[in-house]
Amino acid sequence: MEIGVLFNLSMLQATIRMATPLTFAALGGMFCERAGVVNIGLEGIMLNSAFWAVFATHFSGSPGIGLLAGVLSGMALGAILALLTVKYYADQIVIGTGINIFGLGFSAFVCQKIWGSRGASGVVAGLPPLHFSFLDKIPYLGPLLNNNTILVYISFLAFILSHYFLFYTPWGLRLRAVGENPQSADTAGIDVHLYKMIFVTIGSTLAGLGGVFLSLAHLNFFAWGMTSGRGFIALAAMIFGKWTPVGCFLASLLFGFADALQMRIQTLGILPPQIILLLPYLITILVLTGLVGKATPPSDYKPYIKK
Amino acid sequence: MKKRSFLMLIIMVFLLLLPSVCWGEGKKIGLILATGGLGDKSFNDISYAGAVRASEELGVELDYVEPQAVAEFEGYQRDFASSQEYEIIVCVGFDQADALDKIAQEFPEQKFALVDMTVDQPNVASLLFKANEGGFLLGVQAAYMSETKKIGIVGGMDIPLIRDFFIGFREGVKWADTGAEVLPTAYVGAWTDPTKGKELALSLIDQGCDVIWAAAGKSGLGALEATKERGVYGMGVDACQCYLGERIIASETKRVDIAVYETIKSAFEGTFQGGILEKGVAEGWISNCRFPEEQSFWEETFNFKHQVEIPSEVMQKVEEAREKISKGEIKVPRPEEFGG
Repeated sequence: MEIGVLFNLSMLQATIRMATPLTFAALGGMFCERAGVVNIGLEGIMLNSAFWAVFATHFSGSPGIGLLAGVLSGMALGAILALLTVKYYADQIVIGTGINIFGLGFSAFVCQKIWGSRGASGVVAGLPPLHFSFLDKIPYLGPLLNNNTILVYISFLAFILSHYFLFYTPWGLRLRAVGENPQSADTAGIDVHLYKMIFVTIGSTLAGLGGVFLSLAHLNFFAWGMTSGRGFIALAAMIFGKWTPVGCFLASLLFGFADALQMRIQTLGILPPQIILLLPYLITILVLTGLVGKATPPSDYKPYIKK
Repeated sequence: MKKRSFLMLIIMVFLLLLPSVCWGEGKKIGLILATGGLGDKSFNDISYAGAVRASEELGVELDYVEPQAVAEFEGYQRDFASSQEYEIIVCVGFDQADALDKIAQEFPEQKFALVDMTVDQPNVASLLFKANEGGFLLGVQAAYMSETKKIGIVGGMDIPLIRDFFIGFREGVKWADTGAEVLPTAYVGAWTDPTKGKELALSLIDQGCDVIWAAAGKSGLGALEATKERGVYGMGVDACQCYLGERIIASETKRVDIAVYETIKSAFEGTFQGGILEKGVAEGWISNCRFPEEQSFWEETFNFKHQVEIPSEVMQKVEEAREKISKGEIKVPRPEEFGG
């Protein structure tokens, strides 16, 4: 009976919901690192996008516009990160931390101005769940995949497209070269700085989508600090996924699964909650130490100074 | 050039200090809010309301600050205390305790009040609430309102302050004796993760719960969102949270405004005493937003109407529980840390 409480459809649906923001952020982080920039600012980028999505929806009444605003916010912060680290050789960790602090401070400030509380925004119209009638006919998988918001499907699409792009197109090859050995890439006639800037921006935009998922798809309001460390967990998922799209996706699913499992074990009351709350982190540590083997980063993350 | 700007600076500093010199007479009320700031429709707003009431009735000035982070508490407390302009300084929130313990010793003549936590200094009044008693009342309501006879509770963190709520709640459900059971508490592990709060509530609803009580700060907002989405009953905490959704039927209310008001008044009337002031249902510091007198107060404050009617038989039961707790006929248990 207890197994039935733990492993059922609702639990798998929760897994997908908890994994989606991580998938976006992990893929985003992967693109940045493939281009040779460590994006420690994922958390702040997500939080900002989550905020702007609610902000724009509040004033336009349309969650579609909110989604767009979230994407633009991710893009803008990504462009700033790219410009400062790639073009002006600023320290990546310093800029990333700056973005995180900015995200917390800025969202609280505007929230206070608009909703009179820096803790949480008012409720806005969220992205509606989509229903595909053809999925109804598929047993098991159908109900699992159906009735999600558009962002869940975009996250599936994003990881498949990223995989194809990275390993089966010439641009993907060039991107990998830019990260691994910018000198040779430059010699081969690739505009290293341009590639870095474009893909840091794309990566940050993806992370922004993760933030939009939190505030506009899963919930329909913004709360201060609502990313709650997901940007950093996504970094772990990215390393665990060995900087590959498929790896990032599976690692995010695993973390989502651990979270969903943890929630259900708690309500069985068989273990103290402190131990159960450790579960996702425990899995992270176990996986990083034992299963993954040596994690070799795709770049040395040094700014490329053209000679 | 440089000399002139320096002169300007001195003049400006002087101008800034001028008002504080002029207004030296007549002591004021100092209020240091918790990090959530005003507009939270909860702790801060309610404390502020209590201080405003005191300031209007006593005809004294009120100064308040909204610190952004725990690290800022000590600075504000010291600024307020060292200015010697305040009859009493009210600090809101348990996380001000560490800073206050230090500052209270530095300024032994200054009166302080701390909401929701104990600081063992003679010049600090620690205002504590018997949250377990309010949990009991809410538990009685939940037991009657649940049709599936399964109730879920979502907590922020597994700390005594939160356990206090839930111990009382479980006892209330038991006392109502409707055959309803409360599932083991689901903890979010964070105060600002509404995403996880919502998922926890969904998992409880999937297990058959049709009443969910959330005491988890911002994470609790997510849990209440889940009750809205699935059309089950939700319950709130601290202030009346029923304005958040039609099917949020009741909230345990911590009347911080009354506690703050009474303490400020005692300070100006010279009856202030340091030490622990712990009150509950009997003194009206802890209540339930569905009692008639409370209901109108909250509906006016937050400008909304409760949508779901709670049957009068149920409210009679809750009223009975309140009386018995007030008279001491029902002893509601507490966590060990609170002497339970």
